[in-house]
Amino acid sequence: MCIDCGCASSDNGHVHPAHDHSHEHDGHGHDHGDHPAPSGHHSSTRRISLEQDVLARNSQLANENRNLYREKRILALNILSSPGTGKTTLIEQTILAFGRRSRSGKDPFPLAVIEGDQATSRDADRIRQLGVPAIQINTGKGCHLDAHQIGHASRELPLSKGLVLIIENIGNLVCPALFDLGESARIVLFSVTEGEDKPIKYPQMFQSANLVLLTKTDLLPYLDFDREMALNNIRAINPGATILEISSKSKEGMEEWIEWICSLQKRVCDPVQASGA
Amino acid sequence: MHELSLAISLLDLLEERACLDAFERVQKIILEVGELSGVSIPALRQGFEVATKGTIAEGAEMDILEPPGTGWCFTCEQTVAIKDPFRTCPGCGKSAVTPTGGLEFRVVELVVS
Ligand SMILES: Nc1nc2c(ncn2[C@@H]2O[C@H](COP(=O)(O)OP(=O)(O)O)[C@@H](O)[C@H]2O)c(=O)[nH]1
Ligand SMILES: [Mg+2]
Ligand SMILES: [Zn+2]
Ligand SMILES: [Zn+2]
Ligand SMILES: [Zn+2]
Ligand SMILES: [Zn+2]
Repeated sequence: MCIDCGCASSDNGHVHPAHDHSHEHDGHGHDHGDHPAPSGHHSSTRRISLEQDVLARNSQLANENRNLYREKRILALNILSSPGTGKTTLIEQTILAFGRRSRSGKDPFPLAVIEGDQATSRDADRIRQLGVPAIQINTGKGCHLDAHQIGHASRELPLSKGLVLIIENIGNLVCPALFDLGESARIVLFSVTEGEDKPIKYPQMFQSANLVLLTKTDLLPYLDFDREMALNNIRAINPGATILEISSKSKEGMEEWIEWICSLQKRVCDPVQASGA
Repeated sequence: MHELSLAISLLDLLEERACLDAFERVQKIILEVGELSGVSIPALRQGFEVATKGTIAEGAEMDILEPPGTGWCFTCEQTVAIKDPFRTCPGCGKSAVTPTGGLEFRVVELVVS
């Protein structure tokens, strides 16, 4: 159902009662001319055995995105957290830091941003002001981004080789964990103004993270936040995740974060060079 | 309430099946929602009711099976029952357990006309 993207159908044959799902994407379109047209006389009741994952379709579209990124040598990062943890601010500071780096001749790779928000386009406006292409996806009542929306938005961006595509997901720690977007890495933000037990309360989200960023560390001196306990909680839930501490305000930890992106960018976008061959 | 999004994904699946299997109404859905799936069943039922207004699945009955949570403990070398993913083994209290069952969110069968 293309309620999210409103993508046009290539099929004018029959119209479904509630939706139209003909697609131009590769791999998941189906031709509405091929199946028997509803006759209006299907009054007999029957059973259909399925064994089908409800989220299988999202996974399939996520794999299409993954293939697209691999083919174009793009690094896609999915940024997740509760509202107000500092995702947009971090993305802005990241853009500025890469700007400084490329002016000094290092790692001049292109950036683009997809911003998810339920209603406004403020975040994408903030990014565009910095001269980086940004697409806003408004999800309305939807509380997460899905692979379908990301597939369409990606195709509206200039997908040049080596691009770092940053996706700011909807502020929500529950269901975005279940929706694969085809990203190369998941980055979960957790600010020192939240409870130390956040990773334990939202284990699925923290378990799926490749990198956890403890944010707003400039505020630590003013808070009762038990940093050690927070770090231990992250490690207990996800022993494999990298953990970095960062402040977008004081810029502490910014260097390590930029290095983390650069080394992943090299591995994903330039695999031959990175492996030393 | 992320179950509304999940209910919409479920409706997507039903509408696609309606097209492939040529049916017009969904009367009953048999679902598996595992104990570790993170899906709240009451919220899913409520979300489904809202999402299906005016669609082929309006008023459809939902039978939900709830496979129990299980996981493998590498220390005990056996399958143990767990209520929560990513927790330590209730047997030895040491190792983290890798969930092996109870993560399902799957349509098993439909009754359609
Ligand atoms: N003290 C402090 N405040 C921050 C930091 N990063 C973001 N903020 C503030 O936190 C609020 C929410 O930030 P925003 O980036 O919009 O969060 P988002 O909802 O996750 O995108 C804003 O008022 C920011 O100024 C930080 O590193 N330190
Ligand atoms: Mg934001
Ligand atoms: Zn589409
Ligand atoms: Zn959601
Ligand atoms: Zn169709
Ligand atoms: Zn054990």
